[in-house]
Amino acid sequence: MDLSVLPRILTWLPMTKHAHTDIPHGTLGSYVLGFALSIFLTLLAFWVAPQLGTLAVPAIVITALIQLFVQLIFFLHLGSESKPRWNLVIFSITGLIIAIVIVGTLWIMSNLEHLHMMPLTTQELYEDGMVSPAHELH
Amino acid sequence: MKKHDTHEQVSFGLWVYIMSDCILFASLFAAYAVLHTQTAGGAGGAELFDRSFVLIETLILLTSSFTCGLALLAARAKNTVGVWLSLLATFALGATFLGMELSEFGMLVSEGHSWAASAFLSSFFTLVGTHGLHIFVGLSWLIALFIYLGIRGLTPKMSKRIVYFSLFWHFLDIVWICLFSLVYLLGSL
Repeated sequence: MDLSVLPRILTWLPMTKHAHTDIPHGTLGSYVLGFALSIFLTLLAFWVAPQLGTLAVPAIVITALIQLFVQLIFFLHLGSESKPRWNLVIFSITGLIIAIVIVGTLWIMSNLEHLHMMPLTTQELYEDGMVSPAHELH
Repeated sequence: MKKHDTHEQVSFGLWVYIMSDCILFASLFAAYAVLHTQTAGGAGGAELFDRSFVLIETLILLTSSFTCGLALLAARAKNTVGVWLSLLATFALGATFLGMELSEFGMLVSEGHSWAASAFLSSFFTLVGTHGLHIFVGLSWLIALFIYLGIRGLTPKMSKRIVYFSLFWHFLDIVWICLFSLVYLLGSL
């Protein structure tokens, strides 16, 4: 997906590439819009999301994700660089690593917790061969 | 003769650093996600976090990110006064944010909820404190920019430095959004 068109579509502003300055793209309009959207999403997550009952957690996570991309696009101008888009490549790989770190950690730790929580009876332990009947169990 | 790195190389290098910093924060987030229920019989997030206080902190940091963007626009327009005003505003807002964060930490510690109290608080202080440390580094960077700006004025090189700083500062705001949502809002549900 070509992210560079997003700010242009969303702000109705021409976002021409600046050929002769090293200062990246972005106009007052795009900063104001990014700022307004961020405040709106923050207040939404703060006031509305907690009142949604069981949907509160997904609502907070989703508003955070949307705000993440709002700021990446409007403030950090992700995707608006000229080709080759190395910034975008590094960003995607980092996203993958973060997903592996976080999902992997939660997965392993919840498995461990399950193992701890499972009440094994003495009989089951004998059957598993984890403990021989000769040993005293506490 | 020493060859200078081009602007693209420098900003790409900075971007790679920022992305690696994201991985650091992701690890701390993962540790917090695992440990946040381990309160050792003490108070959890729902009792300890002051939602409204943190909302104000969030809005302050968000505004500082915006004023930092304005500094970039002012630099492009070669508006020295605009650059000074927006960077000073960024500094003031960032310093206020850091002050509020430290006062929150001080309050928690004085009430006996220090990092030593439980695994939850250890991971909380590490995660939020690491972000605070980054903010401190950002503020020091800004002071260096002020000195340079005062001595040399708004040179093209200075404009580039503002671009590098703004990358870092916007990134800190994004990390804070994750902290605000995942630690404070989810924690106080």
